[in-house]
Amino acid sequence: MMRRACIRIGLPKGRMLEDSVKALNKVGIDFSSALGRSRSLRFESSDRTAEAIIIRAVDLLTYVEYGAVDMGIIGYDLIREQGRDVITALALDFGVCRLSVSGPSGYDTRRGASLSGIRVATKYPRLTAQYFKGKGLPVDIVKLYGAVEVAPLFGISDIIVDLVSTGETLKINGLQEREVVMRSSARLVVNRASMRTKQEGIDDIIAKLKKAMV
Amino acid sequence: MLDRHAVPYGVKDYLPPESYKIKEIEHVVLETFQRWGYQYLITPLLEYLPVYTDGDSGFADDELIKVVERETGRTMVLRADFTPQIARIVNSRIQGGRAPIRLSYSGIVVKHDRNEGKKEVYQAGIELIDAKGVDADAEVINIAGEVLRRSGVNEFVISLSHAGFIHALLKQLELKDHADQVVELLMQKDYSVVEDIDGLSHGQKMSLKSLFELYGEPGKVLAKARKIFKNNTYTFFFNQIRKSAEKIKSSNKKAKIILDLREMHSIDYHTGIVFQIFTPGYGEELINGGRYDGFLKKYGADLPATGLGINISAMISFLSPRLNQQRRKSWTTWL
Repeated sequence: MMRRACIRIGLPKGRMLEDSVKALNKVGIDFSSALGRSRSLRFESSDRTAEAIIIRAVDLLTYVEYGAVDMGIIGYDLIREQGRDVITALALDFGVCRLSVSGPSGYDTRRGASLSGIRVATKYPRLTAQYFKGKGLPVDIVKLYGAVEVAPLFGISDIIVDLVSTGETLKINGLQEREVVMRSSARLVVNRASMRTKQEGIDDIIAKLKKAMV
Repeated sequence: MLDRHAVPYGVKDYLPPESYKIKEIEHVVLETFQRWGYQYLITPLLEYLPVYTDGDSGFADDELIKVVERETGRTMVLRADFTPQIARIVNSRIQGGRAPIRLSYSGIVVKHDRNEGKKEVYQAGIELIDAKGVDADAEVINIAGEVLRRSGVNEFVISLSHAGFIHALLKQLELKDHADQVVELLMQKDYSVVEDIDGLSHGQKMSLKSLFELYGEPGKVLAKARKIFKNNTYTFFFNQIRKSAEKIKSSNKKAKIILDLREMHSIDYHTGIVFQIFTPGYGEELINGGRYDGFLKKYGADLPATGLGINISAMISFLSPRLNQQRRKSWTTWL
């Protein structure tokens, strides 16, 4: 039998890495070496049918779109924010969180309608703009790359739009969750060409992941 | 000086040896088109705005690069795509002759891309106009296969889908308020959220879920599809897919054919068999195309048509590392 082409999988650095490795482990793709202390960013699965590359979460979809990896695991929030041309094949059962509008206790987000524009700090400028446009609220968006929850504290913005899972970080920074912009969880994304050129191998992984979640 | 050296975002100079490679590929492509009986047209770089935006299958306003015509104050658009130009020409410049009309073109198109800003692509393509049926669909795809083989791309996968099938399914599902949302998901190839769409009935969700699994080996996919989607309209579309897959297979023995019935390219534009051709090791399609009956009506006569576009820029990026031996001599050292 012909050996199937090796499948390259992009895994996101950070909060979803461990769950991603676990999910793949359940379907027989063992990247547990990726969770060790090694600083290497490339790992072969123990049966050599797949290769993992650890990628910064914000860059992962770019890697998938350009075909540098055949597939990847990433949060739905980034998929919607970046709008990259990839196939979103499957919702996974981890990385559950929501993208929410939060503000200092007592700050009324509706007040913005009568002001010249409230300032919103976020890592998600596109989704934020879309959301407030939908509500007819004129806002100024301040794009930040991290630590968004401290922006109101230092006067960078009035409110923020950011991911919330437990709400603990918000609380510590004196913020309250007001409105949910979207719900997110981990997704399996696939490069459009790989979906066709490595269809059997990729489909096999999708089917197994589906089965493992039931 | 720096100002005089700068080029706008998203455009570039094509220098040797790349410039020669583009012309070599273009030559192979145009020669293939000619052998199949396609007549070559050269279209203008500028068009009036309505050529691209009129009707509901038009380009989005923010995709187009515009300038104002001094003589009339009218808005002009830089060539963003060839097909609207061909549609204009077919409806204004042809006096008579036999059907079908076979036309070809090549050159640069430029438009704004959502993620990458302004972007230009070197393209070549054909339009097979006033031609109905699977034979015409297969002719175009077989030409694509021949172009690839003659350019040295020997291994490729032809992915087929059917815009008519998706249109019929969406209509039958009566999505009403959710239609836009579902179409957007399909356009974004997001097959992961059916459960989360509030307000869809169980039946609607099940149908969409079934659709999302209709990809893979043609025989298997069609068998699955026939079991789920049963009525004469669907059967007619599935038969079209089967017939065209057979015709394509017999002319492209080595090519792999797969179906992806979820794929809808641009919904307002395509109406029948649609295709994309990929090669292993390259992340985007080299060729795409399909049937677009009804599009020409916006320019005059309602003629059925199909066609294809070859992304020569992508062909070059794919072939370049593999073509290095055939370097042309250059007497200049380029930056």
